[in-house]
Amino acid sequence: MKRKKMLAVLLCMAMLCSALVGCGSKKEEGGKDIEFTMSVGNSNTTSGFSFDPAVDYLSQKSVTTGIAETLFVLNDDTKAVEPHLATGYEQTDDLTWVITIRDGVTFSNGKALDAAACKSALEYIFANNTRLGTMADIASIEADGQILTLKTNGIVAIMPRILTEVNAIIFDTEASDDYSGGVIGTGPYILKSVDGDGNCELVRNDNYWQGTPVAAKIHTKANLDAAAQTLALQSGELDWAGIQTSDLPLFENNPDYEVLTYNPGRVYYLYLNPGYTFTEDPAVREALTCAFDRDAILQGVYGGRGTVTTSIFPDFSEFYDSSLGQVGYNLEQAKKILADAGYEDTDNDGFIEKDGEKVHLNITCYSGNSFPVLSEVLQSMLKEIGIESDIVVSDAIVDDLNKGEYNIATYAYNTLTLGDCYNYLNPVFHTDGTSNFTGFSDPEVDAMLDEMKVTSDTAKRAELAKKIQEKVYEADQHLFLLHIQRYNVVRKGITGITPMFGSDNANNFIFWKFDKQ
Amino acid sequence: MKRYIAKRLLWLIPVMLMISFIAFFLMYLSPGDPATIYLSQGGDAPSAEAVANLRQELGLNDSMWVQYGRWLVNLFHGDLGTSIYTGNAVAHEIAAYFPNTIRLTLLATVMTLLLSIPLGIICAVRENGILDNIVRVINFFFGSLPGFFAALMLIYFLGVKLRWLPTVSSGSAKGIWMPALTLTLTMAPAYIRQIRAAIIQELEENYIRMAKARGIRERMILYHGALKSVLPSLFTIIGMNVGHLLGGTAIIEIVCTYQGLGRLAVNSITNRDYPLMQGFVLLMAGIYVLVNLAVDILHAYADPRVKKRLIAENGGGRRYAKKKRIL
Repeated sequence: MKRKKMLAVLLCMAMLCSALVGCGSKKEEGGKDIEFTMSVGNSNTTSGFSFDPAVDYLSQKSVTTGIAETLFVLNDDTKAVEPHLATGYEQTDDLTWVITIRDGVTFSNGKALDAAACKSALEYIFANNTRLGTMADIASIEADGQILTLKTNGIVAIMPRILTEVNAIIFDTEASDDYSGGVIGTGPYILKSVDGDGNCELVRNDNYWQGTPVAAKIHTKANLDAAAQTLALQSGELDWAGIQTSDLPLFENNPDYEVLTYNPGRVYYLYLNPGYTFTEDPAVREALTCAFDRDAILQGVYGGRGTVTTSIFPDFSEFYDSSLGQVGYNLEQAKKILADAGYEDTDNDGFIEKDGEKVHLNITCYSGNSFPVLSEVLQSMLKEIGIESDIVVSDAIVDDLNKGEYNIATYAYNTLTLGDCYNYLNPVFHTDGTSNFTGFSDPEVDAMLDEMKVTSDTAKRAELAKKIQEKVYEADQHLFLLHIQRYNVVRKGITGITPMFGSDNANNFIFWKFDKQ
Repeated sequence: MKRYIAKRLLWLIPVMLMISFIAFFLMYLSPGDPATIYLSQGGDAPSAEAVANLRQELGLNDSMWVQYGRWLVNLFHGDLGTSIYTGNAVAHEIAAYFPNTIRLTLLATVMTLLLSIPLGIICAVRENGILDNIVRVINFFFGSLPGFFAALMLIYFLGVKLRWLPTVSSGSAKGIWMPALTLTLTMAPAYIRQIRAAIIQELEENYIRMAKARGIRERMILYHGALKSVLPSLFTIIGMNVGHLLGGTAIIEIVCTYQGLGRLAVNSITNRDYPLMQGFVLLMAGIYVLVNLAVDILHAYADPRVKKRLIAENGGGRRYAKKKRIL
């Protein structure tokens, strides 16, 4: 009897132990002998590659190949900051951010992740990547166990968002001296080889901290242009790739593929130059704001792949306010505004004049984003209200717009870089903004932008963004047309991929869950 | 002959310097600031301060003469400079792509010769026969196809439909076949026409008629007479094409996603990457001169009349004549 009781107690203890061990384990036995081939980067005909986080813009990135990870990530839907290699953060004063590093994470070479390793990686990145270094404005970084303390020179309100950036990776700086050919990170895959073109062979990291990655191998193809990606998807060489809108009909309603759609928050808009002949007249700019049929543009130029807008931000954004926006398309209203301002067709040639001078506008665009076609549509719509126009296709658009010799310019901008509005609002609407091509200047807007720069409270930032939008919409110097959708295509039967995967603003760390049915 | 080769090699230096200067001058005049283009890659306009700093760092504020002089001084120290775009040494960038271009050039040339020499001979021998007419039509079709269109057609049929070859050449062992096949199909018509015409002309020569009259077999006449005579013109066309291929067939490389020098050159122009562009131009100038020299030497050995003329033009003839007088 005693022996039976003893056995029962031992059995119960064994079950309890196994249950506890099971709860504590992060590993899942989910590895399969499958492989994926995917296109990385949207680099058109770009050559060259580098994994060095100090080198910006080259298509091969450690995050999108699953090699390395960041301390924080952005939620795909809400754009809220979520912890990843960190477990949380606290802003202890205006200039100090204290970040707790996750326990139990190792680099793929077996080295444990701690604050000292993070400090070393971030110090290298902020010292050598000019763009990130400028954004973060770091004074010092301290490491103590799993506690990482960042001190900044000025107030950097969006520090956690900066730490979600694809180049702000945590990697083992001591593993090598040259990071261009690859880095040792904590990600679900380990770089096995990379060829001269930047195509990678990656193998599963069996010690990945979130569990065993499903696919045994990943092959990435780098530097493919849009047409090559589409053909490779059709031939079965690629399992996943981002595609151009024009290629969408090849994959829609095709049983072999699934099309994943997302709105990246990229706005297509027009600059209406108040510093150049004809558009210097507020009446002309006001008429232009209601002269363009956004629906016709969306359907005719972009095949309906997006949403028309009269606002800067997409409607899912916290910075969007449905009560704010510009006027919509109203042809008669546009004609009336011009007529009231004294513009009329005195010589019956179909085009309006004022004081004997024919109104003639130039539309400046660059070759990307189908802007030359958009410009032709705008030209035909201008003709509807009696305005003659020319199209100038620029191959140095920033230089040309800075010269100010244009009436209307087409442009595209990501309004939610790092999930936040400041990186759009400040360069475009601050008096000293780098993309302020219309010379927009409003002291109140400048003051609000300066306040936003040092405000970390999300609700307060959203409130400031909405007030700024009110001022912008009143000025008639910018005309917001569309938010364009982005499309990724994945072969049918592949699971675990989210629509935004591969985008710089996405949570790309779902990589390890990709599976094939 | 050695004098001739040495003279041609010496000419290489001023030719390369002149070409590099013209290329630098044209790039300098073309619109677009390398610093602004580099900093605009993220899609957002860079700040004036960032542009100014990068221009200073890259030495773009100096005059064109100072920039060119600096590049030249570095060149004489064996330094081709650093790519603005990737930050890697230009020599390293070119070394990464040049082997791909050499492989493609050799494969395409060999495939073209294997296809065009037999077809050219058969068409000449069977002049105006059925086969000649069929080859002429096919020649006309492929000869009039733009290279990029031929590449797209092959990618669609051989890659997408039949799945025999990868549509993306980069990163695949079989990747070289698609651009090589495209080049073969677009180059072969010219070769076939050239070989056919040369052999037909040669077959009408008196010595061929004499050989026929003496009862020598037609195959012997063809291989030991006519074919040998068309070699010089074949060398010329091969030389021109090899030079062209080594320079990179940018459009084919871009369409087939083949990472060769042509693609690198297009990117360096798009990015206004002056150092990389200069390195490419220098290499191309050298290749063209050397390939042409090689063709001339082969020409001389294939045709003794040419060799004699070259020796005479380069001073060898006088010595030859002098030696003859003494004897």
